[in-house]
Amino acid sequence: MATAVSGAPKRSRSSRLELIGGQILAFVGAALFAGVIGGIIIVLYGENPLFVYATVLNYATARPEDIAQVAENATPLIFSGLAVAVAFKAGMFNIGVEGQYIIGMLTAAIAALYLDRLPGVLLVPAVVLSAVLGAAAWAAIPAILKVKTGAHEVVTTIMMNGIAISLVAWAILNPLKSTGEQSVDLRTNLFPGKALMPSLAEPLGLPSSVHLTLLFPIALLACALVWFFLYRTRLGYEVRAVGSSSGSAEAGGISIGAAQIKVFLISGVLAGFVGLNHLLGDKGYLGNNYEVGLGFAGIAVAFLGRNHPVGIALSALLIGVLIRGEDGIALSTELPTEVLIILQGVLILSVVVAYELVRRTVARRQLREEAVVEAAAPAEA
Amino acid sequence: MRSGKWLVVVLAAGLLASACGGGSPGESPGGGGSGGGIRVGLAYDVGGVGDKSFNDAANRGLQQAIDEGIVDEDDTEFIEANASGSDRDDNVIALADEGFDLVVAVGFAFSEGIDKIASDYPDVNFAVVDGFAKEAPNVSNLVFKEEEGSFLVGAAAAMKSEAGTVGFLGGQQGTGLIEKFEAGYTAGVQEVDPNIEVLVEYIGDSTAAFVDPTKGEALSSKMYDDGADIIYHAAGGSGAGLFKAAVEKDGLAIGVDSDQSLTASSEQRKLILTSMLKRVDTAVFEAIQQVAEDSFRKGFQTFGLAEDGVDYAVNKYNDNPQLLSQEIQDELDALKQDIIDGKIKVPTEPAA
Repeated sequence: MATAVSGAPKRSRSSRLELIGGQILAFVGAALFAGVIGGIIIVLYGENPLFVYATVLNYATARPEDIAQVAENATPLIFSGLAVAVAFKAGMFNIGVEGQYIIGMLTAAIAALYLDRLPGVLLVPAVVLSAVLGAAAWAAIPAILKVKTGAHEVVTTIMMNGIAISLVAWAILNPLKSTGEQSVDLRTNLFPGKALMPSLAEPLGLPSSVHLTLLFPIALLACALVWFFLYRTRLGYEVRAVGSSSGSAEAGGISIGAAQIKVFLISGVLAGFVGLNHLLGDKGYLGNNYEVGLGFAGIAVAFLGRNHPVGIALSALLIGVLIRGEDGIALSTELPTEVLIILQGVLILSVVVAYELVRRTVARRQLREEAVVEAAAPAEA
Repeated sequence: MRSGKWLVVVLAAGLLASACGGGSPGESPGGGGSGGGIRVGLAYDVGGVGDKSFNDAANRGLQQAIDEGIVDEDDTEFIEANASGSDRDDNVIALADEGFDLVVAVGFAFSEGIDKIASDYPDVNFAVVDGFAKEAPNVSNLVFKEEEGSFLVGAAAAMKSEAGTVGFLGGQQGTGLIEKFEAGYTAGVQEVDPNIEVLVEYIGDSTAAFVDPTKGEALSSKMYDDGADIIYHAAGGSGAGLFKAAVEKDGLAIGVDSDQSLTASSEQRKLILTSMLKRVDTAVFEAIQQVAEDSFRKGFQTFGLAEDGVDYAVNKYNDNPQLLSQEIQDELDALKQDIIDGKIKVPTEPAA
C-alpha cells in the first residue's frame, strides 16, 4: 500500500507530461489532417494547395503590418476564448459571449458619448469599465437563472444574444441615433478622440489602417491573469473542482451555485473586452455594421486551445492568420474565401477528435500501469 | 455528458462557420498586372455578386470594361463585404494595398471609410457608388439623377392610369434622398395630366424602412383602397410588399433601381408596368474608363438621362399593349429627349 501512495504523484506527473506532449502531437497531426482535407477541396477547385497555403502565410507574415493585423484579428478572439474557457472550467457553456460583448459595446458607447467631459486618462478606463459592467450584468442574468431556477445556460444565453442584438438595434435607431444631417447610415455620433483606445500602430511605425491597440497586450495580460486565477487562487480551484466533478466538489464543502455565479461574472467581464478593439480601435462609433460572431468564434478558439490560456492565445493567433489569409485568397486566387472557413471547421473537428484519442490512450495506459502496480503490490508485500 | 460535448463541438464548428461567414468568394485570377494597363479592384457591399441588385449591376459595368478591352480581366479583383458590413473599410484597404489604380466601392455605406482611407493612398483613385465622401483629389462620388428616371415612370403611370389617382411608396423619409424620387415622379405625373392625384406614403424615418415589406404591403394596400391604380415604390426591400399588394388588389406597380420584372414572380410581373433603372453599371464603367484615359473626375459625378445613368425598363414582360404600349414608349422617349435638351427641368424636392 505504501508503495502505491508514494508512487501516485510521480505517476501523475509523468502522465501529465505525457498528456501535454500527446496533445501537442495531436494538434500537429490534426492540423496536417485538416491541411490535407483542405488541400483536396482546393485541388477540386483547380488550384494548387501549396500555393494557396503559401499565399495565406505570406499575407499574414510578409510585412510588419501584416503581423500586426494578425494580432489585431486575434485580440477579440483571445478575450472571447478566455470568456468561454473560464465558464467551461466550471462545467458551463457560455454561448452568450456574443450577446455579452454586444451589450458591452453598447454600454461602452454610452460612456464614450456621455462622459466626454472626463479627460482622456480617465475616459478610456471609464469606457472600458462601462463595457465590462454591461457585459457582466448581461452574463449575470443567465447565471442567476441557472443557479436559482435550473434554467440551462445554453438556452438562456442564446435567448439573451437575440435580445442584445435587438436592444442595440433599437438604441442606435432611437436614443443614440447620430445627429449628423448627411448620415444615412445607422449609427451613433462619433466618439470624442480621447475616448479611443491608444493605438500601437503609430508608435510602431505602422500605417494607420492597422488597428492594433493597447488591447492586444491587455489580452495577453488577461491570459496570464486567467491562468493565475484558475490555477493559483482558491476560487479558481473551486471552479475547476465544480467543473470536473460537482458531486465531490459539493462533498468537499464548495458551494456550487456561488462558484458558478462568480465564474460566469468573470466570463462576462472578459466578454466585455471582446468588442472594444472594433469599437474603440477601429470604428470610433457604434453602428449597425458592428462586428458579429466574435463570441461564437471564441467557442472554437477555446476548444482549439483546450481551454488553457496559453492554448487560447495560440489558437486565436492561428485563427487571426486564417482571417488575414482570406484577403490573400480573395486577391490572389480564384478560390472562394469560404475554403478557409471549411479549413477552420475541419481543423476544429479533427483537433477535438485527436485530443480525445490522446486522452483515451493515455488513460488506458495509465489504467494498465495501475493494474500492473496493483498486481505487483501483493507480491511485494 | 460525452454526447453532449460532441453536440457542442459540432455546434461550435457550425457557429464558427456562420460567424466568419458571409466572407468573400473573390473571383480573381492570380498574378500581378500584365502589360501597362490599369488595374481595377471592386469592393462589393453586403450581398456580393449574385444579389440581382447593386453589386451585380456594378459587376456588369466591370464586365463591360473588360469586354471593351479597357481593362484586362487579369488586372481585376474584387472582395465582398461580410454579412454585417463590418469589414467594408478593411476590404477597401486590402485593395488599396495591392496598388490598384482604381478602387470602386459599391454603396454609400463606404463613404465615411473612404474619407479616412483615401489620403493614405494618394496613388489610388477611389470611386463610391451613391457616395457622399468628402472632397479629395483621388475620390469621386458616382451619384444619380433619380428624379429624372422617376419623372419618366411618373409620366408612364399618368398615361396608364384610368382611376385618375396614382401612388408613391417611399422608404426612409427625411434624408432628402427618397424625396428626390417622389419629386420627379409627381412632376412626371403632372406633366402628363395635372388633374391626376398622387398619394404619397413613407414607411419610416430610419434605414429600417427599406427592409419592412410588411409595412410596405399595408401602405400599398391602403393606397390601392383609396383609389390608386398604379403605385411606384422607392423603398428598397420593402418594395416586395408593394408587389404582393398589387397581386392582392389587382393594381399595377412600378419597380425601382433594377428591372424588377425580371426577378418578380410570374403573377407579379404581369402587374409591373415598368421599373426606374439606376444604371450603376454605366457609372462603374465610366469611372474605369476615366482612369484608363487618365481623366478621373474627383468630387461628385452625376448620372442622369443624358449620361444613360437612369432610365425606364422595357423587357419581354412589359413590352406589350397590356402594360407599356408602343405609344406610351414613344411618348416617354420624347419626354426623355426634352429633359436631355433641357426643355423640361425636373425638380429634386417635392412641392411644398
